[in-house]
Amino acid sequence: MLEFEPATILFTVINLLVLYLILRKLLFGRVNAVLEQRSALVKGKIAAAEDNNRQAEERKLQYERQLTDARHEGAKIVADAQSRAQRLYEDKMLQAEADAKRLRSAAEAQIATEREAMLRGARSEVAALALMAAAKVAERSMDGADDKALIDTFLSEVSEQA
Amino acid sequence: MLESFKESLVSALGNKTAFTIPVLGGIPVADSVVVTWIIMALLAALSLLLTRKLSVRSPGKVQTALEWAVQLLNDFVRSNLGAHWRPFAPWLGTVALYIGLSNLIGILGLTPPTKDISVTAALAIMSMLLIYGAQFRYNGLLGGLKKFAEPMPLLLPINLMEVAIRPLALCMRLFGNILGAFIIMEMLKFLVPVILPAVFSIYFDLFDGLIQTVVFVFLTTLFTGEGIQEET
Repeated sequence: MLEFEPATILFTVINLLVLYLILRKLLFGRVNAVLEQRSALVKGKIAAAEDNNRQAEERKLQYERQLTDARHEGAKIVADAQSRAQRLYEDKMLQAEADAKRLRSAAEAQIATEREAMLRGARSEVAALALMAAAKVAERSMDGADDKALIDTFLSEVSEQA
Repeated sequence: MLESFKESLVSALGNKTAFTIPVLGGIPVADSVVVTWIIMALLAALSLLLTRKLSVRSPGKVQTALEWAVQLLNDFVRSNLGAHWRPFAPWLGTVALYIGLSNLIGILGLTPPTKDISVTAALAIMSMLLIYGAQFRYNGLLGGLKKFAEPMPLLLPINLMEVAIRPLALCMRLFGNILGAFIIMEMLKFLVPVILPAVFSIYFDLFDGLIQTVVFVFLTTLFTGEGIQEET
């Protein structure tokens, strides 16, 4: 019952070593390999995900910066356009005012000329009527050059008085 | 009747020789060695069968259970041995599977190899080689020797005696438990042949067998860890 059998001890040691080699290759080796591969896979996935996140964050920042830039740009363009429009408007206004002034002075000049012409016409008309009336009074025709000069002198005296 | 039981019990306690190899004046091959071969064949076949289709991305139920078991072993060994755990896990796993199956194979009517003190002696010798081999492998010759003077030089004689005591205790504990369970079961079968042996078999064959497996592997791991772990 309690006797040690050297052959059995030796056999068992050999058996254990053989069993160890078998199980290390077929059981523990394979399962550990799978476990390691999986942990490597998970690590890789996590690293890739973190990388992606960081890239996305960077891209977001970049886009935000671009958006801000674009907004500034837009505001600047609008401001430019407004100031240009303002300047253009002022130019146009000045020009229009100048035009209006010019037109008015031209119209005034024309009115003055027309008035002159009308006055002259009216004066000659009145002179003719006066001559006719004087002829009727004097019972003779007053169409000599002397008569005419006389009437003109009279009329200019009248207009100066008026 | 009692006499004949005594005789049959004593003969059952002896280690029968299955056959003798007729070289060098005859090498006896004990029953326990033959049963060990059966266990080895069983474990090898099971390993081949269970690890046929391992998948990294989509493990099946069997693979998940297998991975859980191996992970359990790895975590246990790592927590006890620290940084150098890796080469020890397969050996301790092998020992655990072998002792566990040896203790349980009595259920199938085969002689448990762990009932043979030569088998448990071999197991204990391997544990001793592992414990002190690791102590010198990871601390160097001098560091390994220094380990015997820890935690204080006063304990040097005790630590040296432990080199012999540890394997002896491992060997005797396993052998004694299995033998004791075997004797109790034989007597129970003699006294009450029905029902009761089945109930007690659950404790003595299943529970005690597994407990002794855990104890043996746990102590071996603990002692190895003591030898290689840096003092913190």
